[in-house]
Amino acid sequence: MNKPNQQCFDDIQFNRFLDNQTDANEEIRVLDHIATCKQCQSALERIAGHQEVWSEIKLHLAGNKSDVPGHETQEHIELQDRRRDLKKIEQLLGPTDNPEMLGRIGSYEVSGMIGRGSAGVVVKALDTRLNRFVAIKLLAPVYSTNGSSRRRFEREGRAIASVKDPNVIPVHTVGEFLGTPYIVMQYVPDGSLQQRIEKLGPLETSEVVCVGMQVARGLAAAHKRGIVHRDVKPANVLLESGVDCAMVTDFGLARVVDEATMTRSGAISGTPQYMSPEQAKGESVDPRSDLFSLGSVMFAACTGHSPFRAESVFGVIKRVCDSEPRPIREVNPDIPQWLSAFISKLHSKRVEDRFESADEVANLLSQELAHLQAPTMVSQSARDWWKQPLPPIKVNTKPAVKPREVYRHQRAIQRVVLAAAGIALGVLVLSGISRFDFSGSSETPVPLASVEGPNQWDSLLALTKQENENLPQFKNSVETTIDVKSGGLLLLQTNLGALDVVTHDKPTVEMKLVHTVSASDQETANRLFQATEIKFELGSDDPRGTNLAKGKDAVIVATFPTRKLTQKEIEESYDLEELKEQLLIRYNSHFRNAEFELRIPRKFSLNLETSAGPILLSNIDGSAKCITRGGHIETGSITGKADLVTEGGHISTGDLGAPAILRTKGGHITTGRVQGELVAKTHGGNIHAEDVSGLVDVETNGGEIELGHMSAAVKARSLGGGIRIWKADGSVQADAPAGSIDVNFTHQPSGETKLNSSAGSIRIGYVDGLSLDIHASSAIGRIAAPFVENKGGKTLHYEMNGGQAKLTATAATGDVRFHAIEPSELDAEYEEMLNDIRGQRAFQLAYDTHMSGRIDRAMELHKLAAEFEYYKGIATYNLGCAWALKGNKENAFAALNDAITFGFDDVGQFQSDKDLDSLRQDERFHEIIARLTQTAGLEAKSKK
Amino acid sequence: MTELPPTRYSLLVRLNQNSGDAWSEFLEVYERAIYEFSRRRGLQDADAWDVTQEVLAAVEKKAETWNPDSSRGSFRGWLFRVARNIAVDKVVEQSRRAAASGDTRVAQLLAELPKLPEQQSTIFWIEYRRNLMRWAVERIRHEFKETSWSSFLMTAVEGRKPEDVAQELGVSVGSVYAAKFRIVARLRKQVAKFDDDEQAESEILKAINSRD
Repeated sequence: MNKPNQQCFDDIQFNRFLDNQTDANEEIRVLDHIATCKQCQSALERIAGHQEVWSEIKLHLAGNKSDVPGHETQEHIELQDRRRDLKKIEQLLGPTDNPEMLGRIGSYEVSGMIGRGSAGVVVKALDTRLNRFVAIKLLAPVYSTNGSSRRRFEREGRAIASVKDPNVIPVHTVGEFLGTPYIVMQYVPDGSLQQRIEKLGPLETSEVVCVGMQVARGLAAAHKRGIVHRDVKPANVLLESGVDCAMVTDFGLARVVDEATMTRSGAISGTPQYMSPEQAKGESVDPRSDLFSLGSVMFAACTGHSPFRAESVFGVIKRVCDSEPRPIREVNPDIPQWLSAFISKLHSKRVEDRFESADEVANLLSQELAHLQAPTMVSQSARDWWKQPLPPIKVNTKPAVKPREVYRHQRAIQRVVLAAAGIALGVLVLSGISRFDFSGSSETPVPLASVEGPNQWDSLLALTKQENENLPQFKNSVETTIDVKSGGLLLLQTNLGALDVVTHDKPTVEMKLVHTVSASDQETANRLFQATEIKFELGSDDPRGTNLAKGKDAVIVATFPTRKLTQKEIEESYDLEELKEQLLIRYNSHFRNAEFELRIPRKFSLNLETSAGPILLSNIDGSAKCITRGGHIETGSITGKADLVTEGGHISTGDLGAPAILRTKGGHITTGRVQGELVAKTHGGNIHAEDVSGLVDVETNGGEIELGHMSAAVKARSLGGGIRIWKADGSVQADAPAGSIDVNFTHQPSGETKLNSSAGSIRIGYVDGLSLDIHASSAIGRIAAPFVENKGGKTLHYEMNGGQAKLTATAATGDVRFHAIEPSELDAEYEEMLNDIRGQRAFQLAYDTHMSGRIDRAMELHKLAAEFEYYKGIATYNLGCAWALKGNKENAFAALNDAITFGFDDVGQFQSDKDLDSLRQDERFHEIIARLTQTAGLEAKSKK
Repeated sequence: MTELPPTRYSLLVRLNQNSGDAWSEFLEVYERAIYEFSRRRGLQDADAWDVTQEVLAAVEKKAETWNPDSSRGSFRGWLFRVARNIAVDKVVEQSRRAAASGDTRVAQLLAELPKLPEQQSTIFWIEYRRNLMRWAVERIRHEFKETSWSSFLMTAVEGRKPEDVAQELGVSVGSVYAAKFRIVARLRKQVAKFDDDEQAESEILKAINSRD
């Protein structure tokens, strides 16, 4: 046993010792002493911290540092999440016959999960129609519960689909399945840059440059269309054959996610490691934000990890905003100085200090890559960017404009116009090249030039679809007028066509087709146009046996497009049908789009079918049967029966004069008043109907149901949302397992009512004097009925005024509440709601029409939308945009000034909207901007 | 392709420019504590992040109502109670929602919940202290040499004899003791700084009051 070799120390000395305040001599003495003196050890232990502190430290810091003791490990959590995700996905999917598959999403057989992202999960699936694998991104339920964010997701998805670039993952389709929006993309088996880094560590210099260049190219393609990626990170860079082909995915999704969460809580979201400082601070971002993230991606490729790391999200953000990452060459000395400097420049905290555009970055990197790959043949680039001194500090005088919710629509318009500008180089509108008219006859149009033989055709058409997509696009317009008597039926079948039908006062059917193909040059395009067969047939009988319009005068059948066979082809062919099919496939690889504009007499019925594309109808005095395999259907009023079906997209109608069947596989259904029965079914989306006189059967797998005044029996079922019926006169059967139910009775119901909700509450409004036999129960919630004393029971049976009509309300977790209503108040509220809905419908229709490029029609619709107070400003602004596109400056300025008067004061919108480009040089435009800035200034002042 | 879950940090965004360190330190500690607490109560990753976000937003809102003259104790202590109460509420609410959607595991947890309010609070306290400790470790770790840190972990945390540790690390027994005591003392001070620091309090109040 050792004896203390010195006398013990006192508390003051120990305090000094613990604080490192002892001098060298004393330090040695204390160290020696405490090694053996039990008494001093105890004293120090006591001074260092009381017993609780010691045991807490032991408890909380035990085990591996990154682990949370007594807690699931990170891997365990991830594994569990993955299992639950898989289970959720399986629950979501439709049943499949294939035992190797998890289930189906539409025509896709899902085979497994690829990954989880911030916005949802990604699954691998087989596209059974084209027999190819695809990756499907399903939007997480958090983001899909809100209707507007779903619409936005759809719209954004389409915009993303418009970006065609070898370095951007192609988006095939955007759709909705059982209320879950999804995006179908090309499947890339090799995995992401993230996986590659995790598996194999840092990349070689030339690989980093190669990947960086390709990502920059992909970003440049999107930036040209006004899309900022906002979530560039290694997991969103997919690789094929090593790093030879890098493709960027998930464009713009971050924004959709942002918007969804913004509306919920004013928050922003994303993976902060790769965010730019401006994005992390929630400021507005431009394409250069993606350049910062590209810098982070390249940093990770060089070093194997992200540049800004910390244990918490807040820590990461602080680093992103305030600190410089560790120099790359400290981590990986193989990386050359210039590349490290290049990445640092991308990482400039100030936007202006970064490179100017993704294009510039791509070009610089491609020069470097050429030099790296063949140093003797390609000389090193000048690297001016490196030598340049930092640019002087600029003061940003542009006011930061935050778009209001509704103004978001405008951004999308801007993007489409940008997209058009992007292809303008190759576009040549060949209006009238094969313009032909035939009236009252079924003669086949004669092409202007003879068609070349099959050999030329083969070389002409040998390119694959993908190659064709990079070719310039050419348009051709064909117009036809067919005389008919006052009424009739139009049958039209087309491949990939947008259909726009309006009525006019003439006894003719006028058809204008604008047809777009990709081709290497105009001559080739002309040949393609000439070889296109557009069949118009006029007959007195309906060849398809539809019995839409009795007593019709004319039936017009149009099919489009097919490729005509040459005489030689017909002679030499063994199997004509097969040849036709092959030619059609080849033809279709050039075929881009078709837009039909039809004018029909007032009394005319329609039977329209398109493989993909929206259908727009004005008021139709007849029946309408419309089918689109992808795209929305928007109509004015329809006096006859309506049968509208889309496989993806919303359906919106005006008043319907006869029974209606409305079905969509994904999207909202909105309809005006219906005279007769209404059947409305959607696999995902809200259903909205005004007053209905007949029986109602509505069902959605995910969304809200809102019905106006229902005169007859109602059957409503929503698997995902709530149900609201403003006034029910007949019996009601409402099932909302996940949402609340709200029903009002203003008249004695003529039948039995059954209301069922598992997760929501049930509210029943009644007027005095109703005779109801009430049975209410709730497992967890309360029952509130002012007409009877209810001592917090879980069930209630009460016969109100004799109990004639049976009413059963069953809630599992929510409350059941009865409340007396004042009919006049209810009516006022209802009117207000109707006005909102109608305004929204009008605005949406005008907007969609504008987007699709039918400016004349859109202008009429903008005016209608402007009649609704809420949309007055923005609709008038849109009208101004339309005038600007039409080249009428006078009217454009008048409308824009009106729009400002009506309260549309988004300076940023005015400054950035491509629709207004033709006005920018005009003095009056500057006046508008001045006026807006002044208004904004005044507002800012008055706020202070 | 496993990524970080979506994270929402409206708070930081709103406080971006003029907040002091104290407020973001507060968030750093509580963010993880609330998240882990939610996970322990059976919430899935995404839901736990949702709850975390909601709680922090609610806490921030509530923090506006702090009145220094009242007898509510220290500001940090009060903030802790506010955060704990909101977190417990939100987690119960979220579990109930999940139960309604048919998740049986959550339904089971839910069945246990109302009976154990004190336990909830205790669990929250543990998560809070754990994260506070981890936060403090991050702050002070760089102040000590590798061998000192190892000495501390092996003795104070793993409970090994200083003599054995000294031999294993090749240092003197005295310096192992010194490391153990010094680091514990330092940790305690760092934690106390978070728990009860007038300067921090005024910084947080300033940050909250200087928002738009």
